Parts: sequence; C-alpha cells; structure tokens
Amino acid sequence: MSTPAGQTNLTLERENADRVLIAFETDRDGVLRRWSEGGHRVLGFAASELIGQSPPFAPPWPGHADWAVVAGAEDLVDATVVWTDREGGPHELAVSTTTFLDADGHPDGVLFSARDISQVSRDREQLAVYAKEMLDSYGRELHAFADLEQSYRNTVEALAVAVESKDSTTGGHIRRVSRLGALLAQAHLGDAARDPQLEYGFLLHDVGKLAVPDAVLSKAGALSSDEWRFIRQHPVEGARILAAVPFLAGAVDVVLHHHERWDGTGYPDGLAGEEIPIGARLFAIADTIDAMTSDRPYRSGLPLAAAIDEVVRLAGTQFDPACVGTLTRIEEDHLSALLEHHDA
Amino acid sequence: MPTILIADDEPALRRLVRVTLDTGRIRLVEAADGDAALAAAQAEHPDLVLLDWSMPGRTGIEVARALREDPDTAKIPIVMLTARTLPADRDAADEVKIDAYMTKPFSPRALLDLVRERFGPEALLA
Repeated sequence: MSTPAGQTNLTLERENADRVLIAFETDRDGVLRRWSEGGHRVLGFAASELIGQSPPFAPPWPGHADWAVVAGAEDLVDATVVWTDREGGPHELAVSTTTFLDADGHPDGVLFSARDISQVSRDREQLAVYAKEMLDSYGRELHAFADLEQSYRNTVEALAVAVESKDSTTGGHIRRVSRLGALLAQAHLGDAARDPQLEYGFLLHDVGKLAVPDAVLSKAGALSSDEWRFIRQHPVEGARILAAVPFLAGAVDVVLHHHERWDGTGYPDGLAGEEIPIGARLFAIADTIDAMTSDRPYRSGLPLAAAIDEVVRLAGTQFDPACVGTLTRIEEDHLSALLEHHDA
Repeated sequence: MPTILIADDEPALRRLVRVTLDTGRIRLVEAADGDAALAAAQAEHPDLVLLDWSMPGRTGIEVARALREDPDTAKIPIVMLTARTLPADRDAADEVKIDAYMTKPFSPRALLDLVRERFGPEALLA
C-alpha cells in the first residue's frame, strides 16, 4: 500500500480503512451496541469488553462527560477529542456523529466515527519547527550579510584613511568627495546608485597614490615630466592594488578612470564620452568641485557657485554634459552642506 | 558520495528528510519498515542510518540490535529518529549502542549539523 513518491493519496483503501477508522454505535442512552475492527486495532478494546455498557474512553466529547447526553444531543456533530486506549495511551481523534432513525422516524441510536489524527498533529508540529528554523536562518543570513557589508565598508574606509594620511594637503577631501559623489550618483542614477561598489570606488579613488613617492606628492613647486609620469600613473597603480581584491572589482572603474575627460584628453587611457564608466564621469565632477572649493597653501578656495559655474563651462570638454546637468539640478544648499570643510 | 538510509514507516517523514538532505552530494536510500531497513542496511552499507523506532515488522531497536550483532554491519552509525522521548526509551536505545538520539518533531538544523559533522560541510553545499 505504498504511495508513489511525490504523489498524494487521499483515498483510504478498504483494508486500511478497516484498520484505522474507529466506528461504533450506541443507543440513545449511550450504551454501546456495535464496535469496529478499527476501534479494536487503534484503541485496543475487544467488542466483548464494550458491548452493553458505556464506552470507557472519556470524556466522550469536549465539555461533556456523559455518553447518554452526547448520544441524545442533536447539536454535537463533530469535534476533536482525546480518547485513551486500553493501555492508557492518548489518541487525538477527529470524531463525528450520525443519528439513526427507527421505522417511526424517531431517533434510535448514534453512529460515532473517528479517525486518529495524531499523525496530522505531529506533521503540523514538525512543519512549525521547520518554519521557525527557516525564519531563524533567514534572520541569521541577513545579519551575516549586513556584518559582511559593514566589514567591507570598514576595510575600505581604513584604506581610504591610509591614503589620505599620505596626502595631507587634502584633509577631509575623501570623505567630502565621496558624499558629493554619492549625492550626484543618487540624483543621476536613482536606485542603481545603491551599489556599494560606486561608493567604494569614490572612497578609494586615489589609492594609487600609495605608489607615488612622497616627495612628488608633497612637492610645492612645478613637477618635472618624470614626476608628472608618477602622478598620471596613479589610477593604474590604484587599479593594480585593487585587482587582488575580488569584492572591489566594481570599484576599479572609478579608480582607473577618474581622471579621464569627456573629450578624450584625460588619462590613463584617453577614453572619451560614454566609453568612460558612468561612476568615473560623475566622480570627476565631485572631485573637481571639492578641489576648487578647498583652500590650498598657495590659494584660497572658490565659492561653491563659482566652482559650479566653472564645471558648467567645462561641460562637453572635461565633463559629461548630462552629469553636469544633474549637478545643476541639485540645490546649492544641499551641495554646500556636504562640502562643509570644518568637519573634515 | 555518502549514503544515508532513511528508515521510517511514515512516507511524509521520509520525504521531509529527503528534501532536507537532497543536496545532490548525498545518496539517500529509503526503507518503509523494519525488515526493509535491515535488508537495505545489509545490502547498501550506508554511512549513516536514520532509524525510526515504531515501525511495522522489526522495531527500530530490533533493527539496531541486529545490525550491531552482525560484524559486517556493526560499525554503521545509527541515529534514532523517534517520537519516543521517555528516559526508559533512551536507556533502551543506549543499550544497543546507537550513535545519536533525535526526537520528533526533529530540528532540521540539528539534522544538518549532524550530517555536516560526519561528512563535512561540502556534503551540504547544494
């Protein structure tokens, strides 16, 4: 009588029904008249032990202790009961009643039929355990994922701080430019800007400066052509550093191309227009705005409005005009709040 | 690939265990009663038996005892997976030297932990 795997068999075969269905009949006073094979098998009582008396399993019905009352009641049709077998073991049963009529149409006895639903209850409990653990696992997965993301971010920020400490003339630059870049990306890309790789790229844009000699980075006067070569090489050095870190693969676009120009005259690859990854195009604007509004030892910073005008002037040559358009649609107060230099 | 024998007369339980462990890296064999469980264990030499207690034919305890008494199958790890939770039941199970005792309703996490400890995490990487 096995059920093929994956197929639900809702019908009971004759033999099985006789084994599991507890059926018995009482008169109107609750005295047992007939007893089934299934009753014998499930509850253990033989017919000879029960016929002629009230059934010994009690209570007969939830809230009722008297078989005569149950047998005489018209409104007790079905219920879940717990009856004890001959050995005292409990059985959870779904029971229903049917009233017989005599030749004159008067009530004459009641058929009780009951099926053991202990297995159904056990299945439900098992299902509940699965559901709870699945929810626990999901919660743990979310926590683990959040922890991992936070670890990535902390690592990236630590590396960004290391870069910044090397290039002390630009205090706070990385934090400001990352926030400004994120704002621009959000305004320009919408939900796509949520990719943390963009922000990792912003934070790490100058990681290649770790490979530039300190003397070149901190040199006050004009650079020689060799020194310029070092500077122009820093995006490539940055991409090389990040190449060993798979979780930063998406950040390389910004790191490698943040000095490209829309007209193709930037470095290191001379990419033009939309060949330049969008993150790098947006970042170039943020980088320039921050550089122009920052004080330097040899000059003080421009007002924000003047910096924006300058970026607008360079739309189509240095910058992507669409990205510049996005910049001009952001309220200036919003930009200036991000560029507060004193909290660096 | 490790082989696990699922011995339980309840098809729903066998199916539940199967879907829980069906990573493609474990071979799952089923038996629906005690005699079939003993025969399958002797024929397949599984790396683990998940053994129900109350089954038609031989009970799980009788199957475990028979496996332990035969040198050919004595070392097969046995986990009782049963709704019987009384201390006397556990004592009876300990007497036939089963390896672990899990009660129903069982925790899928505990089952997965047990499989991971025996066969390594790679067995569970679906």
